[in-house]
Amino acid sequence: MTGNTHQASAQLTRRSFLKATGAVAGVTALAGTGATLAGVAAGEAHAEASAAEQYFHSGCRGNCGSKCHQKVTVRDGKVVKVSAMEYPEGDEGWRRLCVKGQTQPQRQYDPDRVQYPMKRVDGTERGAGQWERISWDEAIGLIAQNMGAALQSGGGTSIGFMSSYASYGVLNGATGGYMSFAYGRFITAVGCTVLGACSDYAQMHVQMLGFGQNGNSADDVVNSKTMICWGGRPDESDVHIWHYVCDAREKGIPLITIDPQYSATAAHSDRYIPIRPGTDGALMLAMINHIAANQLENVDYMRAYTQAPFLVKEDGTFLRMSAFGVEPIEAGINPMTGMPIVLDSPAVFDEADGTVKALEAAQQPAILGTHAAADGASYKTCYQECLDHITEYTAARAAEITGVPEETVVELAEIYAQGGIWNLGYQGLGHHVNSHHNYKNMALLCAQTANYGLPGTAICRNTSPFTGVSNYMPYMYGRVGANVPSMALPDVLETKIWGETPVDLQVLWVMNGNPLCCESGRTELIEAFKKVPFVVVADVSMTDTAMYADVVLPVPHVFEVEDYDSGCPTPYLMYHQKCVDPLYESKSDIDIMRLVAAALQMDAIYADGPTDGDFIKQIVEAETTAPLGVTYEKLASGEMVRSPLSPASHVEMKIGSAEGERLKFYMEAPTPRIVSGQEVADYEKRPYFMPANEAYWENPLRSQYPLMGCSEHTKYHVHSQTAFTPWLRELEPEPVLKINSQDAAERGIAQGDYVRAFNDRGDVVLKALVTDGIMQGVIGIPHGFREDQYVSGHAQNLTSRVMNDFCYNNAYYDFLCEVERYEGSVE
Amino acid sequence: MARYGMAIDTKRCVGCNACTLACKQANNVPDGVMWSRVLTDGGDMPDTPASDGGNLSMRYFPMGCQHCENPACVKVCPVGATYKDPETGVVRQDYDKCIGCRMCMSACPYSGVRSFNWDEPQYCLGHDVGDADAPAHQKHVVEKCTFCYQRISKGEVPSCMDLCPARARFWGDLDDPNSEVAKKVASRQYTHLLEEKGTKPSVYYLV
Amino acid sequence: MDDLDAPVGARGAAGARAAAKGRGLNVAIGASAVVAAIGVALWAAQMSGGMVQTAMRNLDSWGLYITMFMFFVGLSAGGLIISSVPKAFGIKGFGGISKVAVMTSIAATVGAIGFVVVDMGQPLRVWELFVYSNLGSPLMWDIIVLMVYLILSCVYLWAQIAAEKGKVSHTALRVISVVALVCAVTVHSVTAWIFGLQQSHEMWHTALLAPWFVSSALVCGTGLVICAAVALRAAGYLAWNQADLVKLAKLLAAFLLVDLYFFGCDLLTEGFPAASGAEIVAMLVSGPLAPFFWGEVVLSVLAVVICVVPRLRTTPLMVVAGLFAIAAIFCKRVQLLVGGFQVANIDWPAVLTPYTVTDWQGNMAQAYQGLVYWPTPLELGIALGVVGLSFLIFFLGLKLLPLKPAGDK
Ligand SMILES: Nc1nc2c(c(=O)[nH]1)N[C@H]1C(S)=C(S)[C@@H](COP(=O)(O)OP(=O)(O)OC[C@H]3O[C@@H](n4cnc5c(=O)[nH]c(N)nc54)[C@H](O)[C@@H]3O)O[C@H]1N2
Ligand SMILES: Nc1nc2c(c(=O)[nH]1)N[C@H]1C(S)=C(S)[C@@H](COP(=O)(O)OP(=O)(O)OC[C@H]3O[C@@H](n4cnc5c(=O)[nH]c(N)nc54)[C@H](O)[C@@H]3O)O[C@H]1N2
Ligand code: SF4
Ligand code: SF4
Ligand code: SF4
Ligand code: SF4
Ligand code: SF4
Ligand SMILES: [Mo]
Repeated sequence: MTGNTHQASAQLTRRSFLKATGAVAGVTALAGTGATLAGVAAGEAHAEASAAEQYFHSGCRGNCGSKCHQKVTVRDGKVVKVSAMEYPEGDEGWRRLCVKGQTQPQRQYDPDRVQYPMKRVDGTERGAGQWERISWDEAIGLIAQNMGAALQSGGGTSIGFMSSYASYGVLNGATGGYMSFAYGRFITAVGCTVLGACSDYAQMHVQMLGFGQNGNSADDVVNSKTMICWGGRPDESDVHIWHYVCDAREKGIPLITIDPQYSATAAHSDRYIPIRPGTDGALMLAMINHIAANQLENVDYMRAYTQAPFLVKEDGTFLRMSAFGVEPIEAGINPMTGMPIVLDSPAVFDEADGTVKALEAAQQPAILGTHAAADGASYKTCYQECLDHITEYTAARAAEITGVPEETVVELAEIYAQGGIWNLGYQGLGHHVNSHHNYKNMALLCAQTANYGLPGTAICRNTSPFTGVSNYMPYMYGRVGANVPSMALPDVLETKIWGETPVDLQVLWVMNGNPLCCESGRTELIEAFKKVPFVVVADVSMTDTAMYADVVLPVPHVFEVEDYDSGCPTPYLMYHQKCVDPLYESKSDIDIMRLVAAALQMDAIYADGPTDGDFIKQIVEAETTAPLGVTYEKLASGEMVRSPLSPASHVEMKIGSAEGERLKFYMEAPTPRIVSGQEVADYEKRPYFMPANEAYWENPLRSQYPLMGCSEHTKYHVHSQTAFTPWLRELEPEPVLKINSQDAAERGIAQGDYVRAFNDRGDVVLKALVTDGIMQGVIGIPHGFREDQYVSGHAQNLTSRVMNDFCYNNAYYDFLCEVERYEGSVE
Repeated sequence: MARYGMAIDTKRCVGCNACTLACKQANNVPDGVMWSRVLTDGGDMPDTPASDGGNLSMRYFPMGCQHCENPACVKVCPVGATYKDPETGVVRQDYDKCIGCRMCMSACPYSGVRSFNWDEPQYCLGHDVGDADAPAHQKHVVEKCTFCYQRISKGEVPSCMDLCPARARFWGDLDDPNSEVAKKVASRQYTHLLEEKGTKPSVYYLV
Repeated sequence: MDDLDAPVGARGAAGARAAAKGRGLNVAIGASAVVAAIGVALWAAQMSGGMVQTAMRNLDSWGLYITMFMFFVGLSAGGLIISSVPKAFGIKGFGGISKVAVMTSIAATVGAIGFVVVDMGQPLRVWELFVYSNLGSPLMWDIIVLMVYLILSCVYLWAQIAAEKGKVSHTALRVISVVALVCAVTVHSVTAWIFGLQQSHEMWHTALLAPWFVSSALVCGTGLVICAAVALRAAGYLAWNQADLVKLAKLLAAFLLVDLYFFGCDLLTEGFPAASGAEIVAMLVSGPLAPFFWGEVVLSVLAVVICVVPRLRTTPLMVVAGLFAIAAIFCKRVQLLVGGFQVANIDWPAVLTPYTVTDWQGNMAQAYQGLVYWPTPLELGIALGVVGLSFLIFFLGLKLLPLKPAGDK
């Protein structure tokens, strides 16, 4: 099998070595720089290497956020090598690739791949694992038949598309649950139900979408004064920003890690502060209080760049100048919504003359206090309003809740107050049921201390600071029928309604996600899946979810399709060249949807894109994007195309004095992520702390299930996608449950023992990793293994489906459990 | 001539193993074999810290052949199948010559950097990967890191040097004061692994 | 002549039994040939199926074969030294066992070489040893010395036989004896250097190793000669004076004491600084190798007691002493080989694969918890095969060569 394409270079003689080195002048000087590596001309044979080698420019289609540009080597029609694309001078820092990228050929040729369409064997139960190979014709026929029947009986919303974040490809992806040609066209034309992912919505709904906040690009970290890794793992889940952190450390900038687990980031930190999971919000509030009580605020910043001085009315909305008869003015059209922008200035109290006036007119807006206005009523400043609601969170109280010593709470507050804080945190703060409050608290903390919109500051690490070139309009033919958080599947199956919209799900199509492995509340979700009359899963591999399908459709690996991903974590546009033909019988999502549409006599919806390139053109060469000068031809050539929207140097978040540019920490009119008739609590407006739903220290349930869950993103996984990748499994052969040495000793668990973790929802059996690197009372099961890799059960069985209905956030870490030695057989 | 070497910054390395797999990929290293592995200086398991009265600590040491200036392995090989390349200082391995006696393995103090193909080399993919000119692997011979000889002989950098996410690795000619590695070694504190064994490694760990 | 010392009465009785036992020898030859053949078949299986079938791995890259190699080199030297010392120094020997002793040497040397061969990954490339010889390698030295030694042993045996026929002068025999003696000592030192010159293994890296190997060789070689001679006497192959047996036993005691003395010196040197060597001492005394450590000590001491207490010097007990001595040295060999791998120089955990270390499924600490190496049945089978080969050679020697004391004829 091997070896025949190789010639032994052990045979390289001294002479041939000299000859070879002589060919590259001054090799010894250059060898250290990588400069002698030849640039890649995509698809062109490389002059020096085997003539049969071709190079392509593709990218990694895992949802790790990094989207590495990859140079893919094809030899004899097979992908043989993946390395990082070279980045032009000045941008080398964005050059990236990790272990998962390097093993993409293994994922591509993985035995785990779905190779041909399959149908559950008639008469077997869903999930029983009995499959029958079928032809594409039969598969499409079955699907069309079921969809047709569903459309007739229940209308568009009876067909649901469930997805997650695997691909953002404009052809085959599912940004936002449906945004791509393949799915957007169909879903909006038919008015299907979209069952969108719930992961990370605490942060996304509040911080990113609600407040529009983010961090500066990672290369700015060297301008900070202190780096705080607060609930993040840049060493594993965003390793490509780590080198910037190292540069900063070399400059003497300290790094502090706040985490229940001792990560490699913690190991490289100047200070490691363990914290009880789910309690960070209380710590933030106590820090805010300490800063306020000791007048450590950056008052100028608060006045000029934050919501602090805005006056708040009884109903919680801002007092605006219209209340004093000042007519709102129209200031152009919002390009995103197409609606006119109405300016109705917030009113503030000007300390200069002691009157309430328009924000723009005030010289020295007060940030604190209650102030009488001309209407005779008194109004609190927004900052004061927030402070008044959080007085219970003293440093002492926070210490009780978080387990972080009182002095440390105070110290952290004082470090924050010095400004220049780069917060490397991310989802460790976001995976509990009530996590979303953290992002309001964090925003207020940064508002107090001028930690946003300035060089060297970041409110959280920014995984995608740059802007791609994308015109989203062509995906849309009509509207989505119903927008349901995927975790609510059991509910809609029960009630057959979502909000006001009837949703009688007959067909469920899963793509770009592996919900039965990755969404929380697995046991309930499986039961729900079993109730859906017809389930289709389109995936590259035989996932935990595909196991519960009626029909499984093989989708190509990213190297086998052309696509353009509009996400832009580096300044370069992410276009995927097709490197080899789709393996086996796989078909791209867009091709599958073309077939489905044709079978339903809906060919028209894809008629404007006879080729995939035609569609991509509509995205990058549309009226709105064409002036940017990026052409399809340029992308297709494989060259590295810098986004014309990306600044030459690093990205700094925009901050300004106009209301819209100010740093927000308060929601005047908090809107749930998905409006379905729910009530919105008053506290949603303000910085707030609410303990986790289940995983909080004082929970009486801890007498039965004393251990809190944690289940982070680790270096050898991109979610469930690399679960079976051979070299990654060499590095990490099986799942482990991290448990503190003390907790292990109390349970008679020794290093390497097999253990069972369980609660009322389910259990999982796996190997124990006994370590002092996790807090007592906390366990950690790395996210990403699949069902058959556990001795029995599934880590996700421990998680619950409980979500708050404000942001419908998946809460992977919000569970309690007990762990015991497993006495059964492991084989 | 040249004396190639590398420096690895333990203050940057996060043990991501990208170097480990870059090596496996470029050299089409068989399944179960690793020419370079990341060691954790910490607890008893990889990626776990040592605990000393509540103080936790952990460091990573990616370790492959140290390309010793005074290689213990070369001296003992009865047939010269492992030898020091005078042009580059690279300790090389000639698979065709190796009799599989494993004398070199017991002589090398760096536990596990030499690896014997105990079995017919297996590859998880049905085809070869990596550099077309990487030497083919053989059953029952000893192999190890070659400093990617096939690459450096073309003036390229070794595969593991190409892109360390942490930018923790430096490469070049130790005798050339302008090389990246020489500059790092000159400006930073470093240690060698098992200094006391007198092998004079060409791999420097910056601390 | 020392060979002619056996009392006439004993000789006669033995001669009567010899004919009856001739068939016994054939059976022994057949049995050892079968064992050897099975070993060869298993070796073929090892070569085709891969050495992954052994328990050796990258971190414990030598095992039973090299243990047995060391052990057999030791056995071989003993016989030759026993037989050559008296001749070389012109002193009184140990009765008519000189040739038999040399035959044990030859058989053991072939076994030793056999063990090197079965340990090799590429036995078809042995020729390279002579073409690409790296004369700096102790392994190369050993191979050379072993070859020379084997040839010398044969020459020496031939010389003794020829001398009996008067074809070789006593002076010549004496010269050959001296050369053989030097070679025996050398072969031991060189074998020791394969290990002792390696700075990589704390346990091996000691100047004492060479003399110690010689003393150990003397111990087990003497033990082997005692056992072989008593067995052959019992089988009626040769007659042998009890006084010579006692002499050998006393000699064995002396060798054992020297060996124990070296053992003690080494332990003290390792342990005294309470530095890294202390780990080695702990591993031996109370760690995974303790059974072999204490085995050696107890067996040696018991053997010494038997050999020095006159009342205990009965034939069966002296044989027991000989067996104990052999077993003690085997224990020593295991300690040395496995012990060398038992303490990893760098024990920081890293990814372990099935090729890294035998017990790879835990961490480094777990892999080293018990014995880092324990042979697989295949290795035991192949080792048995090589042992069978040695016996075969020995028995063939007995059958085909005139090894009986000359006076028997
Ligand atoms: N290798 C890899 N990288 C990835 C991904 C992947 O799957 N694999 N996925 C990507 C995606 S989609 C995401 S969302 C990100 C997520 O990546 P991160 O933002 O790093 O989030 P996590 O890995 O969930 O957790 C980070 C750290 O938070 C800690 N933590 C857990 N609970 C708490 C808490 O309550 N408080 C505090 N302070 N810390 C806590 C955990 O111990 C962990 O060390 O990673 C992205 N990057
Ligand atoms: N316990 C625990 N669970 C977690 C987390 C955690 O920290 N702990 N993290 C959560 C987070 S933050 C996230 S973002 C989610 C991620 O959850 P998912 O997005 O469900 O995770 P993936 O495993 O990446 O699943 C993506 C699937 O899409 C497939 N796919 C890839 N490309 C395409 C394509 O082009 N077309 C089609 N049809 N399919 C494609 C892949 O093969 C893969 O099976 O996991 C969440 N789950
Ligand atoms: S998994 Fe993420 S970091 Fe790794 S290569 Fe793919 S995109 Fe890059
Ligand atoms: S690639 Fe770099 S950071 Fe990763 S393990 Fe290797 S040296 Fe360390
Ligand atoms: S590290 Fe070991 S194998 Fe490499 S040169 Fe040094 S002694 Fe030889
Ligand atoms: S195993 Fe091969 S390289 Fe090692 S000493 Fe023996 S012949 Fe030389
Ligand atoms: S230099 Fe080459 S062979 Fe050596 S570890 Fe690095 S990649 Fe592997
Ligand atoms: Mo995520």
